[in-house]
Amino acid sequence: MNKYITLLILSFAVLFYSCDSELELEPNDSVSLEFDKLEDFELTLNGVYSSFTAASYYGELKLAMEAWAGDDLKISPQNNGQGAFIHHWNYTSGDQNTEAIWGRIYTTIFRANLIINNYEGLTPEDDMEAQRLNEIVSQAYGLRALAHFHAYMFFGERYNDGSELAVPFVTEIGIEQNPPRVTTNELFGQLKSDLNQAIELANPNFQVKTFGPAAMYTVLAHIALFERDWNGVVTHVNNALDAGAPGLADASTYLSMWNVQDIDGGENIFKINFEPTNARIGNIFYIPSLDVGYYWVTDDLLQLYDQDNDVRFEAFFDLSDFPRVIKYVGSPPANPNVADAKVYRTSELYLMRAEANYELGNDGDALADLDAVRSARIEGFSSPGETGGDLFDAIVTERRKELAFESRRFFDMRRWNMPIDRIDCTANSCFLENDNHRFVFPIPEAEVFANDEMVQNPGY
Amino acid sequence: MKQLLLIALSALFCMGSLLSQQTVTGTVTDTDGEPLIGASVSVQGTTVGTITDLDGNFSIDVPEPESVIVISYTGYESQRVELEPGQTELRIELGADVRLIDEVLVTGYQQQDRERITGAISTVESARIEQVPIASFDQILQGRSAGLMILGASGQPGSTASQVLIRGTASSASNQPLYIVDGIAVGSDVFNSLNPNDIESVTVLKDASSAAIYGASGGNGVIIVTTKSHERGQPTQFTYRGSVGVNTNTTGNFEMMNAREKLDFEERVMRGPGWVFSPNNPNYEGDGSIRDSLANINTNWRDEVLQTGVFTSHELSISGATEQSDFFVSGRYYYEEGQVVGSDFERGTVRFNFNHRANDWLRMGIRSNLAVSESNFITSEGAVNLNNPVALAYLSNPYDQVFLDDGSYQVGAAGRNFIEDTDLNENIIRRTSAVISSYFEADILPRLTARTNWGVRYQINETQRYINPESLLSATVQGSQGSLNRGHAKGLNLTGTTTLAYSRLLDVHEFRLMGGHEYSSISSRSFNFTGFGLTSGLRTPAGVTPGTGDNGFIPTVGGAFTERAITSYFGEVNYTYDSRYNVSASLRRDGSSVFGVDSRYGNFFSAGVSWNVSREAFFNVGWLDELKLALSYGELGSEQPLGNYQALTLYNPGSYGDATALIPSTPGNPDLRWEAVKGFNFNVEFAALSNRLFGEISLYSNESQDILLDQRIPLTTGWRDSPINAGDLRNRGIEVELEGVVMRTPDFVWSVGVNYAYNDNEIISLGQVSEFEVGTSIWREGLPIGTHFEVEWAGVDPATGNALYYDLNGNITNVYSSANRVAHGTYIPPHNGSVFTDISYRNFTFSALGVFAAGHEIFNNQTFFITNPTFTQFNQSKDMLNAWSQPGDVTNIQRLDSPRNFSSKDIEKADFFRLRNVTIGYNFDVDNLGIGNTFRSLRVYAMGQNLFTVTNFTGFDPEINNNIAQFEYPPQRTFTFGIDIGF
Repeated sequence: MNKYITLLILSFAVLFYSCDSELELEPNDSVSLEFDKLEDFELTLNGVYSSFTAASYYGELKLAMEAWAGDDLKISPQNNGQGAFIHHWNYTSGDQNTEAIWGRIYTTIFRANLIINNYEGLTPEDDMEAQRLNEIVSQAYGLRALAHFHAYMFFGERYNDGSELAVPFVTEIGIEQNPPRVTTNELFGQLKSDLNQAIELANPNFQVKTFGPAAMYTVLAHIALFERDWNGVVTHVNNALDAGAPGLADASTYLSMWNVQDIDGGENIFKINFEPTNARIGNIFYIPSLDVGYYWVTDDLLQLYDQDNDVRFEAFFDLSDFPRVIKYVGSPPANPNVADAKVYRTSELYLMRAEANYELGNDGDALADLDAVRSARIEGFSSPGETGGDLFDAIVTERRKELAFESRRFFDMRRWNMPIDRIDCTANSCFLENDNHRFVFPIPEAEVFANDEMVQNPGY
Repeated sequence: MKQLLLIALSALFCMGSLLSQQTVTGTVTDTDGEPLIGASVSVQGTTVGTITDLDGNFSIDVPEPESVIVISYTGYESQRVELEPGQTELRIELGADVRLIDEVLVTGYQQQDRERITGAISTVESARIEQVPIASFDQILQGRSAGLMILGASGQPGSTASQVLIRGTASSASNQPLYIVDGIAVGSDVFNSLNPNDIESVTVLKDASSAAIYGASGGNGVIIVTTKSHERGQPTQFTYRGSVGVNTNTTGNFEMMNAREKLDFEERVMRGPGWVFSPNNPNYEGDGSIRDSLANINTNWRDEVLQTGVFTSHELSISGATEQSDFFVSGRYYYEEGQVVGSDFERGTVRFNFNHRANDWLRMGIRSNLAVSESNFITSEGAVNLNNPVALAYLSNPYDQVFLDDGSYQVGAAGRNFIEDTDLNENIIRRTSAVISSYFEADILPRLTARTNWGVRYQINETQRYINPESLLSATVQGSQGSLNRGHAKGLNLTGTTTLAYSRLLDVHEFRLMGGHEYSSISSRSFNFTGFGLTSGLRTPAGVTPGTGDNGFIPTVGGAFTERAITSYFGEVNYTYDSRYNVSASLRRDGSSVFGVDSRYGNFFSAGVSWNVSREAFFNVGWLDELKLALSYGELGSEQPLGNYQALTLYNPGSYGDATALIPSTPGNPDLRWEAVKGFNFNVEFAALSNRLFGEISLYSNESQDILLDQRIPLTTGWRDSPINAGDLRNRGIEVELEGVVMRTPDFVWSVGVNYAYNDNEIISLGQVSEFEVGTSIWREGLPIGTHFEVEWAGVDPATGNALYYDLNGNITNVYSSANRVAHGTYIPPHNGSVFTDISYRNFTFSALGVFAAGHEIFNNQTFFITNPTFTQFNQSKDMLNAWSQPGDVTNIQRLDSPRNFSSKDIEKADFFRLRNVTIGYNFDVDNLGIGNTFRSLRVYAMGQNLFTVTNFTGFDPEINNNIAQFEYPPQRTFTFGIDIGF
């Protein structure tokens, strides 16, 4: 009898510890997300925004790589290699900066995809939750499209008719994928569809640090610009203005957008928030703790401005020590170079519409938009009334002056099939031909190695 | 002659005990039935004794009917027999005192006769482990089992062996075998909390089929440790063991420059005080007097940082029994001072083992060990800087001193003074550990036994690193006013095993079936803080200044909590036909929390056959007494390389603005699973020459698959790499264990043994790539793990003094390019083994163990620093005096301004032989000395550990676990004297 009691006790000993649940151990120092509550989506969306602040994105490389490759900066005597490969147009597929920005852009896309692939599984508890979920999903679609567009700008083949290879359009989550490059037309088609869906689900109220309809329409206009869909540009610029994009800023407001105040208002359409713990954009131009500036502004850019009357001259440059860019000056001495990234501003809307109208033959409308910007920036401005080729040159010049160091010029020159001609040049290479393959960055070697479907860009 | 003396003496003693006697007669023979002449037969606890006659017969008068008769003969295992009431006749068979082929071994979850085993299993007796003056048991195993290799045994007191390899490296990462101590699965760090003297037996499961019963944990082999119980049939015994000794230093292969030589050298390269104060220096205006006074300082840094450490150990153990229970209790104090100033280890252990037979079908017991230890340790072991005292002894300049003339500490190169660091700062680890297991065993039916065993190992490690605000090191910490770092880490291992075993003997058929379930978990929690702004004189948190925004004293805090668990089901079947043919098979199913959700469970099986050839009727080889052949195959796995949560997709907190964000941190892999090992083993075991020679030869081939590698994945997935089971390795080799009695006479026995293993390791596949570099070594398909990868050295050009190298085409060039790197040898020895001998002459015993390894090469990073003018801030080797100076010089030291790069010049063969242990002992004949009433036994001995090493390797130690030798703490040379007293 005792034996059987013993046997019972022993079998309890076995059964007690043979549940499967014993093996499903959750980590205590990290989190696994199930995406079964709204909060998971909120936090992941914040993770998407946070990815934009990385040094490999707006924290440095998105702005720096374009600036180094262009003609607005020259290498300073203090430089000992920073950005040198890019500045000298010597990049190869092994370049670490191209790998970093490619990886970061797709990490951002991945984080957005986490939301997009999981939101259908969540049943909102009430209308408020449902609306909030829609807003989150809207931003996820929108930011995913924005990130893909950035990848296209750096790595997509030069636009001709849209059949060229762009970049992979990634919608799934999973480490098994080998996403292939799609054609430019396909990519743009997807981006437009995503942005339109995002606009539908978005909160219509304008908030400058939320990627909302105004910014989304701006991106659609920007895509149309690359596509040379001039009517599309005009339509979407108008939509953006209707959706709440602010009016052009006056001079003093404009100044406070760039100096230590770094205001959220003014004509900002969409900004990425930077804290002192994030990367510091201004370090590209000058690092106070080391007292070094690796790149100086070129003379030919400086000479474009009316140095007495153009507010941009005061806002962007400080020539006291050396020709220095202070566009992202932050708030020294406590937080030098901590500045928000200005992704889109209203002046760009006007300049895009001006360019589109010029291409459509509406010189008068184009001039009106161009003059609106110029009057807002230059005190006592009176329009020279350009037309034709002169009007186009004026638009080109104004874009250079207005959007310097905002990751536009290099890609504009590629769009316009124009060469980079460094007039004030301290580099080994001063001229990049308009058809040079270096206008498009190489796909990182690591991607080509790991992704069976990847095709490298010509020339690399 | 001796026999006559003994007869006379025993006759004298016999006369003294005539009360209530009875006469016991008997015969003493060896296992072949041959009579043993002159064997000693005595009554324990008395002075009564006699010896056997020419026929092996004896007759003895015992004072009490239930006395214990002790029979002994030199070279044979003594026996003690408790007389049954009324027993007057004994037939004693003594076994030869070398390992027998018919031992009973503890194998996975069962005990088996060695005869029945179909795999390759080694045993190590407690006598080989006891009293060795090393704190940690795993290092003591070296040389005791062919195929078991210890690498990187640090000499720092209290440290455990860095790597224990059984049959080569079977994995890319962790290679530790599974340790089972009294049924609990533990990591090797438990051994600095266990008293090696408490160990009864060690079984090493070497081949795939024996270890397969451990499933996903057995892939690197299994070492099963059982602690002592009271010896059956013995009365209560007290034993005291004490030993004292010294640890001296073993390093000293380099001859460094003296002060004048170093100053002259500095002048030659135009760097350092030898140049700065040189009259030949155009920028210096003085005469040579400063330089001369420096040249007269010749600090012997080895004397300053190395010491002769003391070692002491005291142990008292008690074991006894009643009808139904027995116990074994021991307590030991162990203290060891290292050969480096400021390193020591102190430990107290208490053990209580208890077995109880409740009735004839129920048994239970407990094994428990408690230990507390504290050690002061050196943090910078293996670093090339002056914080590492082993490096300091060589790298410090001879004209520097510990103290300046005014008594203050001299600030050496890099702003440090090691002696000052040892005097002012603290590095302590305190460990408190409990290892407790208990079992219940019930014979629920005849031949059916159920057993459940539950054990825990709970350990708390407290570390303290104190930097005195007045010390030089304080300038480097936040706030520059000292720091106090304390950490607590708590680890808990829990193992619960329940088995059911059935055995049946039907005629010539013998069946054994066993099935069971096991649950095992490991969890650890840790917390640490570092506080700054220490108040002078206080070494506790009370001395820490609270941090504010400005004072720079904000403390740092860290900690973690992590755990893993395995649930297993297993079964084993053994069948023996007529004691000649054995077949065994096992199956195990493991589920682990670390495997990906799609690979949660794995199945592992093994099968083996063995043939006791010598039991066949036709077997008639005169000189072979026993012969057994065995062939087996097993599949098992290794789950240790996987991180606790590596298979999961995890998110870490982040922020955006002032909102929290969640950021994906690891991709996870739902398919992540164990590394698999599949192996064959063929064994030949024999006893020959009238049981004077025993041997075991094993041939094996193991393939490791699904090795865990970090695979690069497309960046477009949002990740960069992911852990994946993709690699493939192979280990094949041969192991030989031989032990034999060279000579045996009644007074003198001499046995010799050798263990030898050869392992051929080859990387078969690395998944996506065919090779990748890791520092100065390369993993390449077709080569073994640990292969060095460096440019080939071609000597020094006598015409120019330039360093010369070979390029990939075999041409000599003076241009160094890392594109010309080629593969060289590996740092993991393919050949390793030991030789050992035991001699006993009358009451004296002598034993020696030498270990060797060969076929490996080590990158001597030590010479890279001391024969390199780039490091003129350190002292240099005297070899540098032979540097090339003019055309025509033939030397191996290049021109001083020719750049000194990594090359095969620094890769050296590291074959070595080390005399690991020599022990000389004397057993007092307690009965003959008349103290037999008080003492059961009395033994004194002297032991030397690491007495000498024969090697061509010019670094400190050819036994390291890394491909680079850099100033590791070398094993110590220890001399101990000890006494074992039995009461």
